Amino acid sequence: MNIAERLETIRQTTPGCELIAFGDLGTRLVLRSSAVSQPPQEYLDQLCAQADHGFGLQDALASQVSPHPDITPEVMVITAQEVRIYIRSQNADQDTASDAILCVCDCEITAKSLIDPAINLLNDLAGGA
Amino acid sequence: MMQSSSAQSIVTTDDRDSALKQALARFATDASCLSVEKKDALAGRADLLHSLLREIDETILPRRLTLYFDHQVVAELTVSHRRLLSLDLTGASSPAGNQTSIAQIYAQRLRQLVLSNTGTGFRITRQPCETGIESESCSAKLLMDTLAAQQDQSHLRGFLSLVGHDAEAWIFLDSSAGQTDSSGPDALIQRLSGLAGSDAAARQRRTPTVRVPDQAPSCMVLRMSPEMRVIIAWHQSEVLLVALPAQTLDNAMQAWRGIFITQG
Repeated sequence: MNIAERLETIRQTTPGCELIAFGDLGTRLVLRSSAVSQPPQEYLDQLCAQADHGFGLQDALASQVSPHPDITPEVMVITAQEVRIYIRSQNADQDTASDAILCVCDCEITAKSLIDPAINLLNDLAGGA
Repeated sequence: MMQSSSAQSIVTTDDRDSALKQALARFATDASCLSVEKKDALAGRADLLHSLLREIDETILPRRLTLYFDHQVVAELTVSHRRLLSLDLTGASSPAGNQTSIAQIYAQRLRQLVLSNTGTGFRITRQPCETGIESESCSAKLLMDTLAAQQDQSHLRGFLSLVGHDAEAWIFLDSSAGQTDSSGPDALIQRLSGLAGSDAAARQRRTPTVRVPDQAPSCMVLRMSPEMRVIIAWHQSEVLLVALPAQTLDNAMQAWRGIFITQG
């Protein structure tokens, strides 16, 4: 399956997942997405920017202690309307360090359930699958 | 309908004669009306806060009130002479936080109870009891006034009042007022300050064409350690950073939703 099909499969097999996207945090662009109803590109760009901001804060927090802890793979954001979870790989190399999966869900439980499938997808992409 | 509106009027008026008349009128109504009230409460159609305040305001002899959500005990109250003598939440830490009076503490616990009731039904039972040597108490009227005052404070201040008791440390920043408050050990405060600085710097660097929806309130959960989480909550010109144990995160999220979803 290609990335789009993998995203579609994850979304359809996760009740409460309204959107899942693959983005590049370096360029802050969403490259593929699957959604219950397709959102405007501006919204996807905002998700990407927020993910980049969140991982930046997570790394800033980690950099305050020595030795630095392992990379934290997820950042969660709660809004009045939805729960967003952004996931990155802990084992990314230079080429895939900016890859992230961006998800929009109905609740925290759904969001947490998406971490493992998203990391598996990122690892497969990093491995060339 | 008359019964549901009487609770508020009882506790918001100083006219004790009127309150007494209303209470007597309520007790004189057909028993089937009271049965309907109980059914409404069990079905989640009654206002929990008003029901509790009314119970307090109508209780003269010492009574222990037990509050159930479905079949689970969630709080126990001791009431006498129309005053609340104690309020203990089951399975939750008793917040001391930044509250300075017993009315503020009880009001905060009542808010916590209301927020934890996600539309499920409730039931209140009453048992005669002895009153101990409780030295502090407050009336239903004072509780209502305190709740109203807390409602008027900033949403993030309200959020802090709900999660502050679980927090290891917190920082509150209001850029419009140039105000910064904090609490906790110096080492944690320094880490939160550093994080707040990173947040502010990143927001200043952001290009205006790619904006995170800053106008909408939101909060972000970060991992400080396996046992600790950091919540960063934004609302208008205010930012709140809270370091708290991971096991209290669900309660904190529930509190945030209670404030920002029910109050907008």
